Amino acid sequence: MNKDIIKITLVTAGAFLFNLVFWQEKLGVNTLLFDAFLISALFYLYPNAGQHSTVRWLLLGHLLCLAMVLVHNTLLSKIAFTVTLLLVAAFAEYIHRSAWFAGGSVLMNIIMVVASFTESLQVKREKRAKRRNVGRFIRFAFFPLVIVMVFFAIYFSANSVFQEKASLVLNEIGKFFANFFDFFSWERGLFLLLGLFITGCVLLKSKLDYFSRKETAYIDSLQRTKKSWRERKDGAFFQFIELVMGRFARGMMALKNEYTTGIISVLLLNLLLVVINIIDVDYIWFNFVYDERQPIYKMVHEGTEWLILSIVLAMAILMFFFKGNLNFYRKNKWLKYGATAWIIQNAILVFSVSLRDYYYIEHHGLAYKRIGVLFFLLMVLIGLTTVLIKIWLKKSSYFLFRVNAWAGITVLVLSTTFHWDEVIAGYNLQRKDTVTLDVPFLLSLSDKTLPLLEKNRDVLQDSSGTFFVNELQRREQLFLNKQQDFSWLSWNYADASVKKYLEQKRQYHLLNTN
Amino acid sequence: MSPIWHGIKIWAITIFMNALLVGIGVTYTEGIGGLGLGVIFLFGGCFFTLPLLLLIVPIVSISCKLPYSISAKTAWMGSWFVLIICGYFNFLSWLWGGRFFSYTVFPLLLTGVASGAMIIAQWLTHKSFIKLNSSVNNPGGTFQANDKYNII
Repeated sequence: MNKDIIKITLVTAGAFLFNLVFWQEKLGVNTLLFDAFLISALFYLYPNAGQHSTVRWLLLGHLLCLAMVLVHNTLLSKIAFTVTLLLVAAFAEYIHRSAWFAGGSVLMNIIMVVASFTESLQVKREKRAKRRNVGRFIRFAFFPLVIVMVFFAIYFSANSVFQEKASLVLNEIGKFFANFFDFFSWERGLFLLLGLFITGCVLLKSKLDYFSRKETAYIDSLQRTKKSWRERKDGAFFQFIELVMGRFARGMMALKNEYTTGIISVLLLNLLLVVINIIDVDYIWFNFVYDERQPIYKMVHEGTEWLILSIVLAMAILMFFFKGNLNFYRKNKWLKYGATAWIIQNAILVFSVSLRDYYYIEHHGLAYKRIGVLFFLLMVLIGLTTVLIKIWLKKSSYFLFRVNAWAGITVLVLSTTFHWDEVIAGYNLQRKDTVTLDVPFLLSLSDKTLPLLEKNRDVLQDSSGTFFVNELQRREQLFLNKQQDFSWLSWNYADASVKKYLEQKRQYHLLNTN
Repeated sequence: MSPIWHGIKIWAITIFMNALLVGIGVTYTEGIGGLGLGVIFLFGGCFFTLPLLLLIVPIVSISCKLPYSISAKTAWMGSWFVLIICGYFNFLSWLWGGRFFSYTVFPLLLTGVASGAMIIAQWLTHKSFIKLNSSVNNPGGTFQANDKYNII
C-alpha cells in the first residue's frame, strides 16, 4: 500500500481514537490506549527508529512517564509524558543527537502539520481530470449563486407572501441542520480536529529538516579553525572584544591580551567568591541560628535567588572566555586552574544555597518552590561539572548544551516518580508540631492529599474553627461528583485510591449514624 | 505577481466576501437593513483589518518557499489565516470589552464567517497563487495553464 495512504489512514484513525477515548475524560487508562496506538504507528511508519539507542532510552523514559500518569496522575507526569512522546517522535523521524535540535524538529512538525497532512492526502494524477470538472462546475456556479442569494434577500424583505413561503422552506432546512448538529456537536467536531492535529504532529514528518541538517555541522570536540583577519573582524564576538579592549584586541598580541584579561577577571572573581564562601561557611554551615529577628533570616529567605543567578552567570562568563582561541593557547594553564577554582567555589556556593533551602524547609515545611530550588541546584551542579569537562577536554558549547539537556530530561523523568503533593502534605503534617503549617496551601494541593488531610483533621480545626473542615468536606464532595462524570477510561491509581478511601469513610459514617 | 500583491488580493476578497455573507445573513433574519450592515462591514473591515496585511504577506511569501505541493501550501496558508483571524478577533474583543472571546454565539459566528470568507478568497485566488509560485521557484520560466497540475 502507498505510504501516504497508510499515513493518512493512521492519522485519521488516531484522531478518531483520540475523540473516542478522551472526550469528557481525564488522562488515565485512555492515555495508555492512545499512546500504544501512537508508538506502534510511529515504529510502523519509521521502522529504522528502533535501531537507535537514543530512541530506545527515550522510549524507556517515556514508558516510565506513562506509568506515572497511571499511578500518580500529576501535572508533572503529564508534562513529562508529552515532552518524552514528542522527543521519541523527533528522534524516530529525524537524525539527531541533541534534544535541543530535536525540539526544533518537533516545532517544525507542529508548524507544518497541515501541509504534511494535505501532502499525504494528494489526489492521484489520474483522478485529477475528474476533479478539474468539479472545480469548473463550482467556479461557474459560484457567482450566479451569490447573485441569486442577494436578490433572494431583497425579495424576501420586499414581498411578504414570498417571505412566508420561503420561511417554510428555510425552517425545514434549519430543522434538518439542528437535528444534524444535535447528533454531531460542534464541540465534538473541534475535538476531532484537535485529535487530528495531535496525531499529525507525532506521526507526520515535516519535509523541512532544517534542524536535522543544521545539527550535522556541530560536533562535541572543539576544532581549531583558522580564520582570516577579515572574517574575524566581521564577527560579533570580536566586535564585542574590540569594544571593551580597544586596540589591545588587535595585532600579534591579541590572544595574549585576551588571556591576561581572563586571568585578571578569574582571579578577582575567585577572591570575591572566597569572601562570600567564608561568610557562608561561618554563618550558614557551622553557626546557624534560626531567628526571625536576626539578619541571617533575611539572608536565607531572600538571598537564594541572587545566588542562583550568580552561579548561572559564572557559567556564562567561563563559556565566554573559553569560546574561542584561548582553548588552544599553549600557556593557558593558569587560566584553566583559575576557572577550575572558580567552579569549585561555585559548587561550594551551591551547597550553601541548598543548606539555606534546607533550613527554610526545616522551619516552614515543604513547598513547590523549595523543592524546585533543590532540583535547580542539582541541574546547576551538573552544569558546573560539564563546564569543567568542557574546559579541560576542549569540548564545544554544543556538547555543553547537549549533555545538559539530557541531564534535564533525566531529572524530569525521574522527578515524575514522586507524587510531590503527597510528599509535601505528608512531610508538613508529620512535623505539624515543629513546622508552621500553611493550611490554605495544604487545602490547595491535589486530590491525592485528601485522605492525608482527613486523617489530620485536628490541624484544620485548630486553625480557625470549622471553616477549613468545611472546605475539606467541599473538596471531598467535589471530587466524588467529578468522579461520577468519568468512565473507566479515566481510571488512574491516585484517583481510585482516594475514591475508595472516601467511599469507605462514607460507609463507616453511615453505619455509625444508624 | 508578488507576494504583496497576492496578499492584498486575498485580504480584499475576504473583506468583500465577509461583508456579503454578513449582509445576506442579517437580511434574512432582520430585514433589508442587513444590506446596510454589509456595507458597514465592507468599509469597517477595510479599516480594522488593514494591519493584518503585515501578517498575511509574510505568510504568502513563506508558503511559496516551502518544499510542498501547491495544495499543501494552500492548506498550510489557509490554516494560518484562520488562526490569524481567530487571534485578531480575540484581540479586538479584548480591546473592546477587556476580555477574550467567550463562548457566545455572535463572536464565534463572526469568526466562522470571516474564516469561511478567507477560504473562499483563497480558492478564488488559487490560479494567481500558482502563478506566484512558478515565478518564485522558477523565475525565468513562463507560466502555462497546465502548470497547476505540474507543480508539486
